[in-house]
Amino acid sequence: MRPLTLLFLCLCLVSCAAGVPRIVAPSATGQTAAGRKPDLAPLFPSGTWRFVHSIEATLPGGRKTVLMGVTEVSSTQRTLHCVLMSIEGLVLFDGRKGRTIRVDRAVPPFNSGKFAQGLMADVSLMLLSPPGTPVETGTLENGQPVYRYRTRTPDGKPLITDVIRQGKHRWTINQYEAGRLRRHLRALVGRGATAGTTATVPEKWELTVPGPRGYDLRLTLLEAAPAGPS
Amino acid sequence: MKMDNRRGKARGQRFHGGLGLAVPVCLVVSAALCIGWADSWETIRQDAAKIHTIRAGFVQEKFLKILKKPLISKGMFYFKAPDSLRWEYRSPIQSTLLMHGGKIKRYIRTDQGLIEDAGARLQAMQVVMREITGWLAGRFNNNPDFKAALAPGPRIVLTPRNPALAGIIQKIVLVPAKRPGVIRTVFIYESERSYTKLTFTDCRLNEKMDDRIFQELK
Repeated sequence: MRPLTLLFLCLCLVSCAAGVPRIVAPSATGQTAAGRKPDLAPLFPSGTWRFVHSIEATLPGGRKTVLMGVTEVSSTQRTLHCVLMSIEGLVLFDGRKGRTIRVDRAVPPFNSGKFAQGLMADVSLMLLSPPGTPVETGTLENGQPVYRYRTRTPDGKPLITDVIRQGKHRWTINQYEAGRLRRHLRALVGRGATAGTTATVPEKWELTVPGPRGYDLRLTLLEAAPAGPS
Repeated sequence: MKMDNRRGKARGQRFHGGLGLAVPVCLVVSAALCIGWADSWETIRQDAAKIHTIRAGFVQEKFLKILKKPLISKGMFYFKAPDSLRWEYRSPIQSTLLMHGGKIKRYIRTDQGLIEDAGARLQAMQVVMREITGWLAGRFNNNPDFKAALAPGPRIVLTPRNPALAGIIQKIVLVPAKRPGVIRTVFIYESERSYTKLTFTDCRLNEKMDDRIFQELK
């Protein structure tokens, strides 16, 4: 087999592997029938919360750095306020997302519009449940239950979000843009109430954004507290 | 005019996020720890010349509008003249910045083990390292990055000379302790709503200090 053909086949296989998986069986319990939302309470905070995370970033080329993040999220308003800081406490990015994105402060190289959009999309995936109700539910071929949501990106591309429960404490969220895996997120949900609160929120997030300009983020929860509107 | 713009742009690039920005701030703070009772630049210069090593604990409080209470980090600080520095955070994130012999590295402890921070910009560091000698000699008013002014209190107020840095840090205010040669508090103002307060504790001067402190994590 010619090397070029082999490469093409490999690319096809990779592409297929990263595509939207088939839902093979309807939910046995029917708990997410049309009009009813699945219980994603352990995964997404309800109400207004403020979180402090350490963020370990693996950048394109394998370079690593660590930042601190403060996020305020409102599940009812579906708003985010994100502040990224260096370990020394210098604010590198401060922005909000509601219907639009507003950047209050951004230091190079965190000052591009694409960075703000990407950051807000990443944080939305972690902290805001997908909008609406799942259009499909059931199990994947490996038997894991899945809730599938369909929306569109701001520029109109079809966006599929699969929320997959992998046992009592582990969840995976896969997001597909125009049929290709765009974000792969794993969450380790607290085995008890988060310190100082009665809530259980994920203690760790691991986000992988594939592709030549892809990156990995590992978030570890440092603080969580209910917050009033800011 | 064109030349000035190019220089301004080139200097602005030194202050990109991460370590490139952290280093000038750390150096100002380290230099500030050497100052004496700040009643004149001459006094500062004289007292700074007597300082060879510094060891101190620090508490860093980050004030942000989004936070109801400050975010607190704690650590240790070591300095040895002319250009060795160890800036070590012990909580909540364990991170150590090492500077020695013109080389700079930052290590961070994570779940995956120890990683070397990719934010280090060697070129930026080399520029800043050239400036440290001036700071440690108490020559704040000759600093190319910050304009220094003595204010009542006494206080030393440092304001950025270049617009790129001014967009990141509004001013740095140094509050000396009563003991000559010791700084009590440093305020780093980024905006009206965001500032950092560094409070130094148990400051020890001119103790014997092994170079390995600045070369190895241990």
